[in-house]
Amino acid sequence: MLLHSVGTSPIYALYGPVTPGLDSGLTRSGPVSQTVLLEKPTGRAETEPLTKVNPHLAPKLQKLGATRLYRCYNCGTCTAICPLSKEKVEFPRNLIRYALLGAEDKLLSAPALWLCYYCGECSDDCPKDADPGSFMMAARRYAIEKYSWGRIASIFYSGPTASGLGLIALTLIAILGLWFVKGTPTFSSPNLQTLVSFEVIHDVGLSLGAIVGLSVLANLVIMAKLVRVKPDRKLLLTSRLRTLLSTLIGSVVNQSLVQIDFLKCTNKNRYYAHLALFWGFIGLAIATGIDYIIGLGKIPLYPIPPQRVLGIVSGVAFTLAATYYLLKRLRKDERHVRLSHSTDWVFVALLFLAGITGLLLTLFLYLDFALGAYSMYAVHLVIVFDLVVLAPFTKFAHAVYRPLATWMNAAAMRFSAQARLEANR
Amino acid sequence: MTKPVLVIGGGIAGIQTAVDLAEQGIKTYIVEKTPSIGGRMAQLDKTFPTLDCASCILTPKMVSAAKNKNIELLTYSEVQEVTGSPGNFNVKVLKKPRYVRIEKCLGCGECITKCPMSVPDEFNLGMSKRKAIYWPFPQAVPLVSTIDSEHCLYFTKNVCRVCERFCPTEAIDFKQEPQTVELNVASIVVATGYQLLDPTQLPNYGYGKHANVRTSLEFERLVSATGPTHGEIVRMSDKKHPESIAFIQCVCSRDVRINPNCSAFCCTASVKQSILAREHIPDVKCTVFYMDLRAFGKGYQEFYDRARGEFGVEFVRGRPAKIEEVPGTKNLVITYEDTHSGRLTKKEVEMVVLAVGVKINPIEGFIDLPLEDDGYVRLDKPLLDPVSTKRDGIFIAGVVAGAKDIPDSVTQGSAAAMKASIIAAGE
Repeated sequence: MLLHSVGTSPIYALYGPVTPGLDSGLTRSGPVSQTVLLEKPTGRAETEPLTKVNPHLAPKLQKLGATRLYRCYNCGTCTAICPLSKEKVEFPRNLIRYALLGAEDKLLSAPALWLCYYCGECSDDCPKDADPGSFMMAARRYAIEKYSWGRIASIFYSGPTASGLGLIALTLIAILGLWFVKGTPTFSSPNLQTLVSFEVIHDVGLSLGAIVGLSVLANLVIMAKLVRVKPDRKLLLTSRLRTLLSTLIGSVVNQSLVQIDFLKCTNKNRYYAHLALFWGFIGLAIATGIDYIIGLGKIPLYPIPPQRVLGIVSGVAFTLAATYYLLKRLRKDERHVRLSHSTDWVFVALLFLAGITGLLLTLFLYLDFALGAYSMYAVHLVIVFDLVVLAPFTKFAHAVYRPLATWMNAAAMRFSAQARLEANR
Repeated sequence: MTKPVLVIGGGIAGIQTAVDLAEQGIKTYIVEKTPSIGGRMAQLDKTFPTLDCASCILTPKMVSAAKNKNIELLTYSEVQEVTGSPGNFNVKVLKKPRYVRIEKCLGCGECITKCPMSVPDEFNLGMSKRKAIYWPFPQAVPLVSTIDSEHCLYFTKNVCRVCERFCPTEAIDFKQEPQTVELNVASIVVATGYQLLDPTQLPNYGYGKHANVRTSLEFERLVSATGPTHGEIVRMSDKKHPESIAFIQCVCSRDVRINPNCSAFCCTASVKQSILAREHIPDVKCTVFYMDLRAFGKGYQEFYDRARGEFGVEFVRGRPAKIEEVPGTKNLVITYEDTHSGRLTKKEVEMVVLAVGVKINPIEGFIDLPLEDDGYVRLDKPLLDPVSTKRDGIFIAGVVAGAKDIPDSVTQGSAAAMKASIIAAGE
């Protein structure tokens, strides 16, 4: 018999830690006002905060689109197949683990949440069909909710009814406001000034911009508090600042202006569409800004001014990209568009409508078609109002969360490399 | 007066059923579609958790079945049709022509030595050659030659007949025809066993593309003294001993796209194979990639602990996402997340063994039994009558109703024998 010398090797905990940070010694220390604290292992508990457990986290994420979350058996195939996951910035398996454990803060503070472009390879390869891609999308929806000040975004993420009512209410406000400020338009030849005066547009625009800007800032502060980078105390302040600055430039160029990581996904069309949408938006913002500074209505139709050329080109790119996204979601022909949340529809539809009304408005101005121009202008103003007001509380917000996350992630990586270098010295 | 019982399938489960029935004085037929009884177990090298040599414990059972006066072996035969009811089943069995007279063949193997035609050997999963006249393996029961008419030069090109010339007992008979035998039996035990699922369904693992990615059954043949390399564990690309081997669990098992079930024996089988690898090549580094190591049987946990401790096998919790071949060395790079540390890792090894899951050999063609959605035979009462099918008088043994290991298959064989004997006894 060969069985006599049975070894006594340790039997390891089945699932172990979800990351090296959250260690395997997960023990319940009793309920603390409806939450359970996960005790940190002894030794370094003095610096690390306890992890709060939210038992409602996973059910909530299911409602937000991670319908198959509970199927996960934690095998790690998703993390290993993901073209964007890399050593020390692994996802999505660990994030799914956080969700299933209810480790809400861990989930919301992971920059990796925003590094994903949802190419769907994880979902294609998942042996349990747990759809990690949809989970990542749902987790980002949850993050948008939680990062928003006053939890205003919850209105739009609690379901299609609230989302729809919110949008209708906002649209009604815009229409009423427009009715309130409208002048008497001249129908002989279109003159937008006569519908709404430049001064009104200016004042409303500025105050709206200030409110939305402050909202975005408040949200970013909430997110930054969660996704905080803690550089080694031994590092010099100047070197810390230098790292923060260089990683900021790097991530703005690579991750926002070029979105280089998006190219790692297999479907390149999505990359081009996203880039067209992004640069189209930037172009439109610049063109509108110039118009705004010079003064709306004071710009001649001919010769076509350069900012209008920029606006038309950007508008076409923007509208085409928005059309691509809208059609994709309607066709559901790829994994990332199969499950559309109501907020996805609102966002894509508003983008498309803003683009198409802007283009038609310009067309009608040049065709000297007054009724068309005025109606398009009115609709365009309402849509843009919706889009801008909703920006900090809907999918649009990813435009600021993703850059912050990529920056924080890059900085964290750099800091840890520097700390290791320091330790080796 | 008891009536006979039919056992379909001559693997370890079927042999156990037949022997237990015969010991009670019940006439038993074993219908086996291959030329020899023995089944999958004959292909295994050692068995877990005791590391007994599989052949050494199987062949005495095979011989005792063959020698038992109450057992009639119908090898190289297939059941074609089952009609009737409990106590009175009529079964049509097709005896395929061996082109060798069983009663005359001495098993001297002269014909095999002289046969000029070599073809891939299915017993060694194509990793070696056999002749067109052959024994499936040296311990075959009955030990008689069989001509494979698909490859035999006489049947394909009407030439040769060398075996006929050299046979000392004139056992070769090229004129044999398929024969249909009708059996009347009281009860039937279906023990038709399993086949491996096709690992090319997981293209990321590169089976069939990368030479050094092999299945667990192929590894079993490689490590076996009767195998294509006489027990040398070698890489297919360069016939060298690997310095590192990775065993990957749950390939085509617990995968909703292919087969949602656990295949039950692969965990302990890979633990065993890693131990065997360490015994054959003392310096080899063995890593087992698993998700949940299911060492559920008696002595299995201890066996696993031995692999970790005594044999220094590394166990990594994580399901590899892909295996890529290194062009020059034909080594393999495994990409996985170690889910204990949370680290995404790439590991280069010299050989990969896929613990491939199983499905049952198809039975639809010859016996009408309700199946589960997952393809296994539906049991009447899975908990309290786990060998009875939905059809009265028809029982199962072995993997046909769910993946299981050798001890469980043998247990079911004995249980099915008892159930069948009750019907065979009449009242």
